[in-house]
Amino acid sequence: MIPVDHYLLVAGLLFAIGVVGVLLRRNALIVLMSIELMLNAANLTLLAFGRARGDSNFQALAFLVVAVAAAEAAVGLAIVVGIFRNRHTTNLDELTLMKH
Amino acid sequence: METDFPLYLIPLLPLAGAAINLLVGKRISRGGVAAIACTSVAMAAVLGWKAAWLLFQSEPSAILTARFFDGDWIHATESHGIGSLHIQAGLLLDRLSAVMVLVITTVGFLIHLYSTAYMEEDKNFNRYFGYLNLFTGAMLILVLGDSLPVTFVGWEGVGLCSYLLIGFWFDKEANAYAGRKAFIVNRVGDFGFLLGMFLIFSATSTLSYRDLASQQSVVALHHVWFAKASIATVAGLLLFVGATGKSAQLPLYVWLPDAMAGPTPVSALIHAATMVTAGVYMIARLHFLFEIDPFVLAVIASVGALTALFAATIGITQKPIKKILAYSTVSQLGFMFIGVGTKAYDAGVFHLVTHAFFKAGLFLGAGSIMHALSGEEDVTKMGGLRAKMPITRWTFLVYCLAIAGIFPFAGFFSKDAILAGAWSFDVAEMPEWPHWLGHAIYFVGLSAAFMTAFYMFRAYFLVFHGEFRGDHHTWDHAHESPPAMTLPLVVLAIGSAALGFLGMPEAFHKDWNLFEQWLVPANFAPMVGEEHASTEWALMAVATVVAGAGIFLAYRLYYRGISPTAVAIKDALPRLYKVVFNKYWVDEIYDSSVVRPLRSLAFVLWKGVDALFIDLILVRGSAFVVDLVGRGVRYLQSGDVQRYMAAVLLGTAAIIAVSANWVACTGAPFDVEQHGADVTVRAHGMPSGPAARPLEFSFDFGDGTPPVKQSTPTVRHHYDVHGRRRLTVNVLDPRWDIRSSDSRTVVIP
Amino acid sequence: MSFDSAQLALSLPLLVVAAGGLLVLLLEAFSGTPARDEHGGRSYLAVAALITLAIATYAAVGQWAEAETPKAIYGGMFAVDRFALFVDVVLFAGAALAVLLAGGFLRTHRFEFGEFYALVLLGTAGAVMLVHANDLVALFIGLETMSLAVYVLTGSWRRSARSSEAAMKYFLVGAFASALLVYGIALVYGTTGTTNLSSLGGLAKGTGGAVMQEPLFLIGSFLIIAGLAFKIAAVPFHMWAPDAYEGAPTPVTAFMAAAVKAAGFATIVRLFTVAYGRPSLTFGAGGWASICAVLAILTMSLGNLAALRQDNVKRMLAWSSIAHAGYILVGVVAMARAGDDARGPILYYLLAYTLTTAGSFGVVAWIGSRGDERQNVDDWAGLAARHPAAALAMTVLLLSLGGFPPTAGFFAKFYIFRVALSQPGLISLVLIAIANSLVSVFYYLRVVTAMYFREAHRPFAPVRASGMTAGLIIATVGTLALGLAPGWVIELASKATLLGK
Repeated sequence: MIPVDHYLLVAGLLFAIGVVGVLLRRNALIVLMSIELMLNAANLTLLAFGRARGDSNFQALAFLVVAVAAAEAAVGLAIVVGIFRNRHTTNLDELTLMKH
Repeated sequence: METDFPLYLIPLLPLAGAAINLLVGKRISRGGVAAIACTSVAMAAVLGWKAAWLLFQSEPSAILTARFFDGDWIHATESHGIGSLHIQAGLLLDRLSAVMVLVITTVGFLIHLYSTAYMEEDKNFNRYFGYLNLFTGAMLILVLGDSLPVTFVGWEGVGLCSYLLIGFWFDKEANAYAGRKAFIVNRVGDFGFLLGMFLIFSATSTLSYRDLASQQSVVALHHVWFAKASIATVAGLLLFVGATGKSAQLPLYVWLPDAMAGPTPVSALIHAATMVTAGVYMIARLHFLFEIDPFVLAVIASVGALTALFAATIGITQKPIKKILAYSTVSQLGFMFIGVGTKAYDAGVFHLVTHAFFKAGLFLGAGSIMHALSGEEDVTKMGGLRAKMPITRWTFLVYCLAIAGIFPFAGFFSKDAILAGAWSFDVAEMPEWPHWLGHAIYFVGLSAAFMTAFYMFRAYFLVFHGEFRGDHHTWDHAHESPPAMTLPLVVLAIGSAALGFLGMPEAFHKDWNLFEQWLVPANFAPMVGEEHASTEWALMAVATVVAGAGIFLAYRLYYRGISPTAVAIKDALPRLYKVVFNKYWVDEIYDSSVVRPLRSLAFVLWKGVDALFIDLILVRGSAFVVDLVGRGVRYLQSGDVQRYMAAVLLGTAAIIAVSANWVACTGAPFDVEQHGADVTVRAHGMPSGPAARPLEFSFDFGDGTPPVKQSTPTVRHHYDVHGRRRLTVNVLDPRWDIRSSDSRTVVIP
Repeated sequence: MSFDSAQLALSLPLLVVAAGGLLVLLLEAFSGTPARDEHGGRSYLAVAALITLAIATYAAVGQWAEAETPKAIYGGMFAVDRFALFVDVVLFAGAALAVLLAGGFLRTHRFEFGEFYALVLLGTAGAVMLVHANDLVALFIGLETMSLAVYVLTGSWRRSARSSEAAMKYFLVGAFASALLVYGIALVYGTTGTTNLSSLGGLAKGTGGAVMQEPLFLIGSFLIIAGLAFKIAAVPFHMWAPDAYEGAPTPVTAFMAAAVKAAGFATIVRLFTVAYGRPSLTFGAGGWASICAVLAILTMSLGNLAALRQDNVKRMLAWSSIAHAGYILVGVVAMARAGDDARGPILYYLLAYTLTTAGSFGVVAWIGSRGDERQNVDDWAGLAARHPAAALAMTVLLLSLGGFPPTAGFFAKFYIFRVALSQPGLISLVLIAIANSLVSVFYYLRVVTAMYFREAHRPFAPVRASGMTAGLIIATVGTLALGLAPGWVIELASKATLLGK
């Protein structure tokens, strides 16, 4: 059996990739996807721990996270659409009407 | 004692007037606004007199109390280490606050009356009177409050009104700097007040004046706080910082002269007669606290003396009449602090009362002059006005005589009482202060009194005597002010002339010091070390001579106008031999021996206090910090959301890094127990418990023996060598893989 | 786990608000089109929302006596205690003020749609769930429900580029923080095997607590703290707040600044008290007390210093609300030692702050009209001469924010500082807080002086709506009343029990 540490490592890497994507990519949609990646990393962590501990509650929690991620994606896409209608761009660099 | 006296009406009436004038004043005629404003203050004054009459009929310790509403205003249950807190929105009228109430309402009413004419043409008539009423109400809350928090409500309220009323005349940028200065300086003062209040509460669990004065609280205040300072010392100094802010003492005086930007009646009411005396009142009110450590009193008296002298030197060099009066206010406030600082509380408060009359009069007189001269302020451009404005002139002369301290005007008695108090100030309880402190303060005060007489009469002669030095157009327009303005001038002049007799010195007639008899028995311990009548006579004689000398000097130099030397040469050619020589002589001596040193002293102080401390450190320093942070924010808060997320990530990372490192590094610090060559080393260690991975310790004793490696934090070691050895503990935290170490030197005998 | 009627009855405030939100949504859907006319065709939805909030408040107040003994329902996930009920009422007050303010604002800005009120109610439901959450899972669900509603509300003024941009920024940073939070929950769950706050607290007390010094647990905990610090906009997790507050429709800003922040703080208090009571997690440089102390200093100081330089009143208030989070954090720090005694002051602060902040943003909403938002401080010049009552209300609210007696804001700070001062070693923190609150008066008074001492250069065209007037009156009178008679509120707040303590 693959030890739990390996799963955690993969999840950590996934999380880090998500973070890098969030911070570096300029397109709002890609950033949104990177955040989903972070949530999935968290899910993987949960499931890995769940399997190691033999506790099925973890799976329920993972489903909740998936549901929330879906809701978040829906709202996020709506906001991206809204901003595209107003500004004709989804480039985060250009969204600086408000600052300082 | 009548306990159901509606004391709360005294502040509420002006506040109600303020509410009406501010909210619906636009829809009321000017006459209506003025009537509401004046009537509300007049009614408060009547109530104040009625209350004072009730006190007068009762025994000295009688008080009147009232509450704005039943039940606690501030309330907190007991918790760790601090007692429960019950503060009511209560008012307290004893003989001290009665004096203040009478001054505020009476002088306040006169100034309201005067304003009806002075502000006639202002389009914000209702707002002006609204603020004036608001101020009066807040000031009454300040003096009537029966606890520090209630007083603080008034304290902040009057500060706010002052700021708002300075702002009344502020245009956008020109005076913004002055406004900022006033604001910062007053914040420093409030900071002191608040901290003092918290500190007192932490020691005594109460903030009400009557409870604080109880034996139990005074004992609690004696407790040492840190170093050798008792709570009373620290709290007293903090409260004094608050007092210096509000009452414009060194080094926080700088806002007051700038505050003269407001309308003249406002200067009279707020920045001369009432608000600025709040600090003096607070010290008199809490005198039992300040007396606990005489050191604090000595500081108060010394700061007061220095301020009195310092502001007077500046007063000599000023040209705008309101600036002269402003510095004179700072100087006179210094006198009051000398009074309360040398335990001559009644003298300090007495001077507060007489000063309220003559200084309000001086400002209103100045207002009347400026009114006549279409706003001209520079005394060097006035002159000869005695012909045009007889009432203003005569009343102004009375005020000048009063402030100079000429018998029998009010200032003579109050200033004399303060100087006598300073002379007999007993510093026996303070070995660290020189025994001649009282005398030194006396002489500093005396010099300030000399200068006061000089610069006030300089102003008087320049304004009312000699030839007019402005343009003839202005001269033709000059006229005496309307009755609504001259009436208050006359009333204040009568007060300035006659009030002094309330506080006749013992030397004149035993038991005729009515003011002392009114205040002292119930509120203050009687003065110890009263001087003999002969000393008192001598002090009075000296004070009178000094004031006379100041007036004489002013007369010689300024009676005929601004350039006495030139005038003297022209007038006295036939008698050149004697008079011109003498004039020259006086002028030269005055210039080289008085003006120049004073000017340079003033310059140094001004540079030191104003330019360096206030301007550079406080005003510019804070502007610099704000600017710096602003730049930082401008850079970071760029609008780019990804920087925001990076900040979240960095913040999280910083928390993890710092905390983890700390958790790992707490193991290494250690204690050493040494018995000869045997040492026991105890590292602080952590963590423990079954699931925790233990720390790996490595003890290096610095004597050549191999390091001891183990997982428990305690080790014993015997040294076979002598001298200084370096003891080092290295710790590896396997959880975070962080190494840390700590070391110190042991000496083996 | 079972759902019996007793449990349903105990969660009544949550159920009422959630059901009310769905009902308003349905009302909107079935009301037929076009329902919007010039004279407030949607005001019945606002009334429905207000009735819902009133019933929920009634339900919460009704449980007060019973909740003296805290209960855990739904398998220990949902706490019913007085602490949560008090915050519930604060949240309902904040939501009600937002609804009152919204009516006129939405109409004049032409984006009144029924979902707005439904979203306010659903967001409130999320917040209620959050403050009752005694389990990290419930906490997460509540947080997300609240946040998603508020993201949408922020962007609800669809024609405004600023509103959309604010929603985008808020959403992205919020989702990012949520991801950190979920990852943190996963790590905490993984190391301890439980997500229940009471169980975590029990673990901390027993010998099993050593697991709480394991790196994964600590990292997880810090990630959770970061996620919550985002919600209360503590520096350096604050940067979204000025932009989101400025861009959001002003009634939504009021809701965000008041209710969302209150819920965030309530969660922090519950989490730290119940789950992280272990001294090694509390004290020392690595404990949450020290972390909160550093955050408090940064938050107060940066919030105030940045607010000093703002010319936009709305943005200035946004920075000021960041500074206020710093003052509350001082109370959280004091909680480390003072425990129960610090909860009362924090609750009082939350109530006072909710009324004052919602009210002051309310005046900002009132003063502007479509195309002329009047947000610059120069635009406020001369307000007192034209609209004395509004200027007076704003003055009272600003003085309360600045901590002048006798307003609610003064006592809020007073109680917090008092309890902090009673703890050893917190005096420097309190000194910094007092200095900060003194500095803050400068920028609040700037607005006051503009209103009172300068001339208006063009006429005002404020929103005229009875709901908005009522909201402003309630906020202002409440602020004054809390200041004039703070005793009974602090008395109530200090009796607030907390489950699992």
